[in-house]
Amino acid sequence: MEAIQVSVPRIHPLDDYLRTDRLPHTLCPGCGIGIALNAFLRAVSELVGEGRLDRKNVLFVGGIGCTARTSMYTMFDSAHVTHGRAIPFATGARLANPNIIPVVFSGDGDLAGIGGNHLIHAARRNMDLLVVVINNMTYGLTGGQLSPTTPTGHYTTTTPYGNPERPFNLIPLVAAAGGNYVARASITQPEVMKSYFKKALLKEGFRLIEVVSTCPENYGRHLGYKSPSDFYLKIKGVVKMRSGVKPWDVKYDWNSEITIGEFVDRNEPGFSRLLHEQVRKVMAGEN
Amino acid sequence: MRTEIILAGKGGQGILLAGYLIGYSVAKFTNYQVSSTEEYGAETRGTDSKMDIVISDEEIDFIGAERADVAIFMFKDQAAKYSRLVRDGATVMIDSTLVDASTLPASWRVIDLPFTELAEKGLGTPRVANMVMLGAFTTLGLVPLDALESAVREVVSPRWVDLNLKALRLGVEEASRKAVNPLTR
Amino acid sequence: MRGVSVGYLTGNQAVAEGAMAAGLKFYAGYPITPASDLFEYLSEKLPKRGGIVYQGEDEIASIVAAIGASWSGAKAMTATSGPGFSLMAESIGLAAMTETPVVVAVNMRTGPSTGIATTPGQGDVMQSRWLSHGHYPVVVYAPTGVQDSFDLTIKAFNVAEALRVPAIILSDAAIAHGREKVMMRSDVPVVSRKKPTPGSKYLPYEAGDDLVPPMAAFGEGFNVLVESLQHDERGYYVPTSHAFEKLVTRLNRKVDDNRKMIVESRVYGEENADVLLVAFGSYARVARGAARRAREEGFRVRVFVPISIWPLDEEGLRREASRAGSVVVMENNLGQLYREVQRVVRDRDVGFLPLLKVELPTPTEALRSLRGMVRA
Repeated sequence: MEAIQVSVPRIHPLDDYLRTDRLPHTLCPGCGIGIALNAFLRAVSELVGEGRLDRKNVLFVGGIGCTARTSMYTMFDSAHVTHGRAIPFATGARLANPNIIPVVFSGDGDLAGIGGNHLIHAARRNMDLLVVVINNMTYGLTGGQLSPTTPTGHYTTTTPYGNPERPFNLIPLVAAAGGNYVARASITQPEVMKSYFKKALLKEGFRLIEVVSTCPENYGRHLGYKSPSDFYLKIKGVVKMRSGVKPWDVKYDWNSEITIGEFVDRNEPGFSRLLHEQVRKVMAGEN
Repeated sequence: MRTEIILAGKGGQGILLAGYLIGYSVAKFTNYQVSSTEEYGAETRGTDSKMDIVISDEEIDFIGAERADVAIFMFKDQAAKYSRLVRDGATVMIDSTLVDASTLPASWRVIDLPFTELAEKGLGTPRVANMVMLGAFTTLGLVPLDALESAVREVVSPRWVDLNLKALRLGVEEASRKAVNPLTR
Repeated sequence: MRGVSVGYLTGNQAVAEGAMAAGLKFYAGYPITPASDLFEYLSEKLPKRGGIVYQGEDEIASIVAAIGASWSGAKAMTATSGPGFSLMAESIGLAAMTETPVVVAVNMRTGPSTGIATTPGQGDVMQSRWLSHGHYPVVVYAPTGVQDSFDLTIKAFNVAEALRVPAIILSDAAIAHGREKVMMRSDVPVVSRKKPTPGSKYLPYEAGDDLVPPMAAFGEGFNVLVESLQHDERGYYVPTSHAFEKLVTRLNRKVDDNRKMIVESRVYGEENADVLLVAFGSYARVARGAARRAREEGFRVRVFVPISIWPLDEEGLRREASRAGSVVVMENNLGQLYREVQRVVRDRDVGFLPLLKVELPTPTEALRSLRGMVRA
């Protein structure tokens, strides 16, 4: 079969970090994931430009979901694995090769729902992972069902009478489990988000960045937002940037405040380093 | 030639270590094949502890003992419980401190020695009764004494090696004395 | 003998030794009876050789970490038993779909569900083949003892690496915890995955005539794309019939076309026997004991032992079946290997002897049951 050659002109400064031959992507117009991916790739691009990051060591992993699908487009070593399993996959990859810099880029359902146990244990171990949770508060890819971060009372396709559950507030959850860095950003402040990515990419140990995002198509509609910008403006209004706030005082309340900012920033040795140091000692007969 | 051995007692008597040492000696220091399986209760002490050992000069088919040629019983309950797995005419060693020889089938060739008492009186602790038994076991000709001694040196924690080797030799002496005692049936 | 070390090991220890001899660099496990002692043994030994041992938060985390580690270039494995193996279902499919070499040692215990943790079972023959959804390739070996546990673990690694498939060592509690003399050669043949040429244009799922694509590791600059969705040579999601047929056919043909490299079986006992007794794993040892006892009674039993369970040595089985008076399958379930033997030996009736036990039946018991169903 003769392959059809399509030449895609380089028109975006981040094209180098994308499998441009796959574009256009499958995300809906107005989706917040693109803003987050853009901020992330700019962070990587800047660090690479500054000579502080070797892109060939970046491993970009997603499980299943709209956000996870970004792994299909990123021009790194990338993995698009099974639902909820991005964290253990990235964990194994990093433990087997400590030069790898794994980034798990996935959604709230993938990471806090089906993969929730992996999330808290990776944090507990201070496993060397940057985990980015794009929190659009729903299972967008499957049509907008209830997620572990859907606010109480919200209408989704599986809570047509309103969500009777309480949502996870991921910041205190992950801060309590452990980890070196815990922050929450919002798609409404992409420059701040990028600065978090840049900082977190260079740290060892477990790092969580939650990104408050939108899903205008499969979620916003049920909430009565007529256009993506309505949803965006709602987020913009509800997020409050705070510094010096303890993780357990961080709010996740759709009706009053979703606190954003950096809440944990430590430099404890990562699990990968500790484990490899132990192996080295065992081999040298020191342990 | 296939030899099936059953070694049984209660948990805490060092049955599994004794069985391990037999298997280890055969595997490491002879040209024979050896297989063993263990059975033990969840509790470390007081429950059944049983090991099947098969020694053969050819590839071993079934890994367990169903008609044991040799049995070693260190406690009365297990002697009663597992006697059905011992063939007529088998050679059976018992710890006569804890097993009453008169209760055993007449078809067996019984070697009764008070392993526990010997260990207690000769070495100051009943805990090496299993080693005294192993010493006596070597006189059956299935496992050479030097092989078992080497196994003890490699397997047992260094601080217990001397005591265990003494216990082995005590067992050899006592069994040899017994063998020439005309009162032995 | 030079280059051979003699051990007196349990099946679990022999699997661990075999794995290390094959080049194991990453083990991830989760405690479960009767596989925990394999994990414990490697926890002590593997770091001494520079390997990593990791305890996941569950069996899913463990096998997925092994798959991730494999993509970082490490020979990787995990071990488990029934309940844990069930949890690994999706990940076996992930390994098969992404063509990730990984070895899973499964020690069968009594099922279903949590069943009996400590006693040997044989109820997972079908599970070992069809654990995950979709039509995927997997290779399964069933050791019959400690020597096999060592040898077949090496073989499982070699096949997994050569074909980029998950390989399973399907053992059971009796073998895992039984101890036997084992001869461990230091110069075992070791196969490692084929790698792409550095600097070449690389498509992670583009295979040549051998159907097995070279495998780049993370961090080597190839921009690998590991894709669990249906994909083309580039790893791009393509939801079409054409791509589906092409991918699934190639994935499964990797095993089908390489049967010669994979399959193994053994026969014991005299030819022209009254009965060909087919048994695997620990029951193969029972069957061989029964054949010995049968000989004493002038009853001729030949034992066929499949060593590779998936795929079976179909030719060998058909040949042996054609020569015996009758064919009987004996296993510790209600008919799993039996179905496969029936499929292979199509031209004659196959008898079935289910011995449902929580301990190994004795050869005498097995022989009594066999004689009850076969008139010699």
